[in-house]
Amino acid sequence: MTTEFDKEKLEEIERHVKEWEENVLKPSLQKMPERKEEFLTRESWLPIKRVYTPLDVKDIDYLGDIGMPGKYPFTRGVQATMYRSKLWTMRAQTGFGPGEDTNALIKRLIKQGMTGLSIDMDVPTTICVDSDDPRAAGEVGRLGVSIDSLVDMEALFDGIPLDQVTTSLSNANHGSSVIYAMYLALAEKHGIPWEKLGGTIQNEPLCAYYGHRYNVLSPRGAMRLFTDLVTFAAKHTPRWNTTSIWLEAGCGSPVLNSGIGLATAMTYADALVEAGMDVDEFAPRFSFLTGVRLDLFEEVSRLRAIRRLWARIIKEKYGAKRPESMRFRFYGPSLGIDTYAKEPLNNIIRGTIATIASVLGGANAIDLAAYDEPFAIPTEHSKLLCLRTQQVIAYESGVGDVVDPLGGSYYVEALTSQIEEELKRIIKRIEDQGGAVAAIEKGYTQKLIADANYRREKEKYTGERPVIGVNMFVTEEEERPIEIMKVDPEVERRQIERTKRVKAERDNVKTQALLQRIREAASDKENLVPIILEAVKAHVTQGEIIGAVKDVFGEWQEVTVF
Amino acid sequence: MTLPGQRIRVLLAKTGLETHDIGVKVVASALRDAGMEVIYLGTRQAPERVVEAAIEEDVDVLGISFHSPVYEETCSTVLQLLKVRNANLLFVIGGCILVEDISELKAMGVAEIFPAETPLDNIVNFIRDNIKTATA
Repeated sequence: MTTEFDKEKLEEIERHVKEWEENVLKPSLQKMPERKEEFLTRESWLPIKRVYTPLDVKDIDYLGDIGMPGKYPFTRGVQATMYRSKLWTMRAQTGFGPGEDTNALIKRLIKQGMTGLSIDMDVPTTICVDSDDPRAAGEVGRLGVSIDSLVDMEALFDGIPLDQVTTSLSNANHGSSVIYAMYLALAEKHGIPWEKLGGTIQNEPLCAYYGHRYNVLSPRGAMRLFTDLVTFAAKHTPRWNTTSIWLEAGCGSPVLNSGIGLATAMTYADALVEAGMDVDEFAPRFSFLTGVRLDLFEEVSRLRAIRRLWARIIKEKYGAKRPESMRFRFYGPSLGIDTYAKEPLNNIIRGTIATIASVLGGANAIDLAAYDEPFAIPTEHSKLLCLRTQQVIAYESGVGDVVDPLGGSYYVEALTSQIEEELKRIIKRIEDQGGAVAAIEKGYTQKLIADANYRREKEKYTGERPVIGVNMFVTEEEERPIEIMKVDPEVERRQIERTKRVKAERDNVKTQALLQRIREAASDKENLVPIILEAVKAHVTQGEIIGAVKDVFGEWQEVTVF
Repeated sequence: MTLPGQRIRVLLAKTGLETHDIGVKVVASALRDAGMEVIYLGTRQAPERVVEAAIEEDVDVLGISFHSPVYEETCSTVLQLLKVRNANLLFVIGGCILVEDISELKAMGVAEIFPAETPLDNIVNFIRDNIKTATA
């Protein structure tokens, strides 16, 4: 063991700590008792000590457990130089209305320094319902951009050089292969080779059963589409992240949900191995998404712990040989759950703290929940502030100038190890249920998360968890109103009209034939992506394509536990 | 209809396509812990289905949770259906509801609106104080 302290020195420190407890701590506590009986980390309720010393890290092996950045086990970061070479990708996730409205907004944000496109889709799009479906009424273009057919995708990316940007097509989930196929078809139209496309598609079907519930298909159908996309992308779009595994789906607690997310990631890896892929073929294109909360030290330690554990799992359990396979690359935005309607400007401060935690935790891309998130989707101004927050941190604070600056802190190293052990326990619990799919089908995962959500929210209402301006230092004064984004209902009409027109003008005999081919391929083993690609080029819509897949695999029946 | 001394019965659901359900589940747990009998129908329920279930289950309270700005249309449909079915229950809503819309929603006939950050006790107490108890 390569510990940093020799045995004699540790014994000396131990004697010193005991002496301090007796002669310094005790009298101090008598004079000034602590604020609480027991201190827990704020987000995941992990017990923490008053002060950490070399004794707390004596079992940590620097070379084996921490090491250098860019090298296994990647605790200190996935690249050797991290932000000294390239700052994180600064995203400002946006979307509303038909493609052209979002297109104009994206172009303005690029001018303001946004370095990665991140597209939010509306609710019907995320659950594969076309805009002209009566069930979509009232939701079209309201919480994101509406994408039914390739025509919408063309409007969304008009004039944007697809080979020079990276694009996150977030929250398309069970419809990921359709949105991905549309992006490929669009690149083809722009004359850009697929190999040059960089970006991320969510393609994380299982989180849709316990996270935001953007589920459409049965787990069997959803896993089939997942595997088809990853195997196709490995051959044709080598720079594309084929999945974005969501570690805080459904909120819960960051550590609990990270454990669930890692167990889910292992289920994906198992499925791909079973489909005949080598771990070094798929793992380098696995990416992750995790909200970052406000307990800065807990979050930094959690992100370091996940990096180490993921590297270990991929190497030890799956036998990966390439370092690229072992890298936990993640997008770490702040979350809407940490924004409040009362005194909304305070949300800017909350977002700033989370962003610093995300940077210190080594995020590869960041965004913030806008301060007006409790009311509506962001205004252009509030979204710009999300970008500005990142820019001020990046260029004015110096936090990115040293790699993993909190590494070596007795507290952070001890907590990193503590969280790694906790993650292993959670993964074991999911495995004991029969894996991620079985745990979802039994409602086990949903119950774990619902319990954590209830615990957190109850703490807010009792005041045990302070939230400034909400349950602490509450003012009775009337608040100054803020500007709230209102999407013009006209956008819904425009979108519905366009989709109806697209459906009327295309070759509908061909459409029916293509949908039939999708059903046949889904019943067989043929990879669905090439047929979906052909269908999107013929202007078959997302709702129709996923509808055909659903005909074969059936729908998911929600397990309503709380 | 609940007789005095009986447990209050509540049915909760989310309508529409949008599925943010953390809040509604927290409320479900809080009402359960307050001694009420809670049925949670789940997400993406049609208003017709919700009203049908509320009547079938003979609940005292029907609650719908919203995260997107479609609540006015939905509430109007639900209230209309409740009227047609002659249902005598307390209809409440919660979630991302703009303060400026509250008076209009109340005028429509929604018994109470619990926007995000409403203390859980307020919801429990409102229900206890306002359910339409059968006169013995």
